[in-house]
Amino acid sequence: MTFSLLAALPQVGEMTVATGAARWVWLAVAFPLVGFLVNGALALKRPEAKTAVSVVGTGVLLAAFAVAATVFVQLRGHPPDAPIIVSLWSWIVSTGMDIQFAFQVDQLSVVMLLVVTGVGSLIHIFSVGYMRADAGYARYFAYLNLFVAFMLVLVLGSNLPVLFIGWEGVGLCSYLLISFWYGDKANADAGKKAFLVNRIGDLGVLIAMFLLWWQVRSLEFVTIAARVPGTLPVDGGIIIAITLFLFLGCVGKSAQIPLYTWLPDAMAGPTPVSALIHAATMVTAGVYLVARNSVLFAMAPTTSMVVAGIGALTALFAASIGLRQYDIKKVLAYSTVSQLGYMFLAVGTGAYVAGVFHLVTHAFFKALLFLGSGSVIHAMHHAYHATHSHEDAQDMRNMGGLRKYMPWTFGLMLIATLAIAGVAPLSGFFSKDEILAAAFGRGETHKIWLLFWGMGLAAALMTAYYMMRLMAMTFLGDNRTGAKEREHLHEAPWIMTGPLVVLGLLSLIGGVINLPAFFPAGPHHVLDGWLEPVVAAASRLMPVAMPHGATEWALIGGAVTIAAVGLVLGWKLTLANPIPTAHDAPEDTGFARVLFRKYYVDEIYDALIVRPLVAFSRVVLWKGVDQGLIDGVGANGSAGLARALGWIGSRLQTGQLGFYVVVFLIGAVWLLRTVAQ
Amino acid sequence: MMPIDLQTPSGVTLALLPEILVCAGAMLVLMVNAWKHHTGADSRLAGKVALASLIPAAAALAWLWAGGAEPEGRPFMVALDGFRFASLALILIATAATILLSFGYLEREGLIAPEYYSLLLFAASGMMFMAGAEDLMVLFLGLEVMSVSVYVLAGFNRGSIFSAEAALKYFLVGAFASAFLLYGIALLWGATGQTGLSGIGERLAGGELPLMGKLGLGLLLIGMGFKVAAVPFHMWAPDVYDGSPTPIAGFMATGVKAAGFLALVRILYVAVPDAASTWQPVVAALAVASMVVGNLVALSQRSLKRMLAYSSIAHAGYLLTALWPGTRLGAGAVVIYLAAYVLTTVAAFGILGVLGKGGERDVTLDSVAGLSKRHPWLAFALTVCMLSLLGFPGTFGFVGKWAILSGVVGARHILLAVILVVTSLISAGYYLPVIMAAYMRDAGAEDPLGGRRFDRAGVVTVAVAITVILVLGVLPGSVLNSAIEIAGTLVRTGGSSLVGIGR
Repeated sequence: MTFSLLAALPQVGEMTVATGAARWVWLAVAFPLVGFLVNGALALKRPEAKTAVSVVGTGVLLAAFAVAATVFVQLRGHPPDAPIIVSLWSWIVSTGMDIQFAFQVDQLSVVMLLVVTGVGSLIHIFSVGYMRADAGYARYFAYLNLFVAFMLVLVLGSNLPVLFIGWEGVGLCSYLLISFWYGDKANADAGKKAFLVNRIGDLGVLIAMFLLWWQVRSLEFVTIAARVPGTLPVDGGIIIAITLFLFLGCVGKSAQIPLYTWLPDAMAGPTPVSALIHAATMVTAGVYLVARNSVLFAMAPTTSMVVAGIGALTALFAASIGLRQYDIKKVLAYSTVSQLGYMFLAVGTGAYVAGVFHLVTHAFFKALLFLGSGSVIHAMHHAYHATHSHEDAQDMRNMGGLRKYMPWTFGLMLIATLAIAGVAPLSGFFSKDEILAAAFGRGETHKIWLLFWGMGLAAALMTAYYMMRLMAMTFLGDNRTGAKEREHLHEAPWIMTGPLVVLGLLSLIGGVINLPAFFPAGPHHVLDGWLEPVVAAASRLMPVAMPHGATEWALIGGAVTIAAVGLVLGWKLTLANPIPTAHDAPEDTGFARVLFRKYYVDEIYDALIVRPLVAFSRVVLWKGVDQGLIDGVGANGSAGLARALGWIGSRLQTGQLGFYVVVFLIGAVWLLRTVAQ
Repeated sequence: MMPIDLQTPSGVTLALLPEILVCAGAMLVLMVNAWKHHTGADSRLAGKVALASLIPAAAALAWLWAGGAEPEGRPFMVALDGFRFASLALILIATAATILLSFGYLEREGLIAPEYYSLLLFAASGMMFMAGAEDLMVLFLGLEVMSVSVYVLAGFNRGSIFSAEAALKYFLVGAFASAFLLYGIALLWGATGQTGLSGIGERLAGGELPLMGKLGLGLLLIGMGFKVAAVPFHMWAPDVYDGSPTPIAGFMATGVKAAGFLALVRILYVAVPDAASTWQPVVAALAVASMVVGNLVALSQRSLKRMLAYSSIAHAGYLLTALWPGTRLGAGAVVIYLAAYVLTTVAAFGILGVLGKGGERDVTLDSVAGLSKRHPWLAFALTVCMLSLLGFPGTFGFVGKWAILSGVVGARHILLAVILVVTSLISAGYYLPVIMAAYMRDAGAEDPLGGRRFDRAGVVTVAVAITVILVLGVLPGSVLNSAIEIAGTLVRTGGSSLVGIGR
């Protein structure tokens, strides 16, 4: 049936031939790749050449950003009618299959390109200060450069296999960087966990690819988008299966329920890594994948509902865990999981632009928060290091009052906090508002979306609370670091604070890229217009009815009120009682303990899945099947048989020439008889 | 296009320029030997002259190839097509690599024998005549020139009784096999009145092969089967490889085998393509026997050299499978696989040569134990060789096996394909332990190389081979395309694209 299908489906998606700067888009990948090679060589040969590493490591990122900016300018000047495909070489060619190693330049990939290289550049610069003292400095930059190269392959790939290279590549870099300080077993374990959990998701992407190839005979995004609407029935079993398997990949990569548990552990890596990989870029790959295949998801309303539901649930669930964490990075990690949930709520609702919008603003303020926390940890670490104390440098109970010592970091993180809480008119306000409004609007078609909206709203309250709690515990009140240590607390050097300032500015005004119509100043809906060509087909299939007029104002008012309430509660409740240091703190009790222990999900997974699996593997698979059946009967048995036959063969090799000639002659007689017949 | 009239002396000279230059080089080496044959330095000098004399031959080949030389009028005595040029290139590469690996080997073994290099060149010229022959008589002459030189080379380690045994065995069975070959040529001539390959092909076109022709073809296959060491004409191979100097064993496994297969392809595809129903069952049976026996017996070998000898028998089976379809794809697969096999085997024997100590009959798995700790690059190169011989994805060997499978599956002989895959799987049973020994076993206090050093020429040769194996393993597209194109100059029917890779 597949071949008749092929005959019935001649159309490929429209594409534009690359011209101008777009032809050189591969340079954006090549630069970081060169950086990886150079830094990798330095890491092996001359790890002490830190200046060279800094120059190469950040230089290639800035060069990639320049490429991205040039391509963006070209696309703005001459918007193409269809995606520009830059084919580099024929990769897999076979009967009926022609997979090009090609990059797709369109409005969506350029947005991602700018975010990855832009935010990436800032984080690379920050790392120069943050990692300077580390012995593995060159190795660190090599990995970071390699990550950016793979991330760009992911967002630029014009088909699923190329995307998958990037998808696996960023995963690899992520594991390498999570366990960067591999001397500590916990770090190595965290890397392993991320690796294993992500395999589940990757399997989903692979199955989706096979299904797509079977049904559509193409893996090119443009061709899939062109063929699927005419081939597969809307909300049919096949399209639901394809999109659900794709989404499984997203759930793994973007840390959604039930596969989110790896991300908080991933904070074991250096903090700039958390900012770049586990907040701003890699974990948003799932959102990008849905937006990239928006037509498929729009054709499967059932899947879309699942996506939105999982997103809303994750947003709420992760935010609630964030309420009671003490490790500053853990709070931010759960916050990331929660915000990713918002993005999936958006793309599940059909508000693809809103999802990408939140992806962009989140990249700004979450990168800022992570880097800011990095500055704090850096200062705390130095203070403890100077006094040879072994207290936890990441525990917020050991901080407090840092505002006095690190005014810049405090001010900038406050901007990010207000942005993520959704205070108007900061960037996060616009993107979050658009998502909630879209969910509310979809409530007209199905009541369940009103529930999703309510969950999003509750999550927004918690977000404001835990972020303000973080700020209050870290920067306000009295300092709890210790008298001796206090003298060593100081603001980070400018190479670290500088990138924070840029990110602070972006968090402040980032909303300008997609202002809603009600906002008094223009231009409005820039991102909507920019991404229109990419999501138009999906939006036609799944139109979103945005609320207008009084309803819209009521929603905005509600959201802002909730943000304000959350912020005030977070501030007042945190500082109401004196906070004991981590050393003296009593154990949490009651529900707070459940939250602190993250609902015991890790323990439940361990008991229900990990342990039974390990036991099953050990007893049945290893001892029984592998050692008993495969090794014993299969491998050893057949190897024994083969060896026995081989032994007979080598016995025949007597070394006696006469015998050889006899064998030769028997063969010759047989051969002549055969040909003569 | 460069038409060359093969009926005129000047035309033949042009067409045979690479062969002539190699012969001239061999004689030059002999003349140098007349004055300088006493010290190791003299021996090195001879090797350098031999190596240098390959350069003009390669240049002449490049000139003919790039110029698109083709026969004016009827083909006569020597072929002028892409397939011959590719064959010559393969043989030149194998020869050059053997010379490069011999420098260090002869020094390590203390063999002062400058004649060695002229014999290598004579053998190479014989191979070139053989692989490029358009006439059975030329083929036979080439084969004899090659064989006589290689008989001597096999016995070159005069101090070793095993080397003498190897030479004698090879010579006796070889003479026996040559008689079969010559008788086969005579019968084919009797059946068709022709010795030219195209002439035979025209005479037989469309008709049934007479019994005399069938017997002639059968005898021819026996003779060629001996040269390529196909079961059951293989019994000489393990003993001879074992006793010969290691670079010569490598030369036999690559050059002699390549020349044999290239000549065989030409005979079967040009002279008797219409008698496929006669030769295909025989080729299939020889292929299966070689794959099964070669791989199974290799499993129970202790000596790595004998293991590689049986492995080369198994590879003869793969190559017979490759040429079975009689299509363009089949000829292309032979070229690709030979290229992969020659490169890998050259490197493998090169490494074996440096691992061996004192007559190197005792290189076993224990000799490579812990190699990775002391010589990580050598262990890596050995690993790549084993994986490529195994046909592991990412190596050139995999591409070769894929090409063979594409051809066989395309010609709908699924059973052959299945046997090839299963026996390849069995071969993991003796290739992988080498890697395991190199990486997972402890060397103990002793250096696996025992203080011997790999000389620079050897290192460069192995490094280049390994690089090409890896690069073409990952990016096989262009070389696959050119192989199909080359095959197209010989056969114009059947299968233009490989399943899966290339275009």
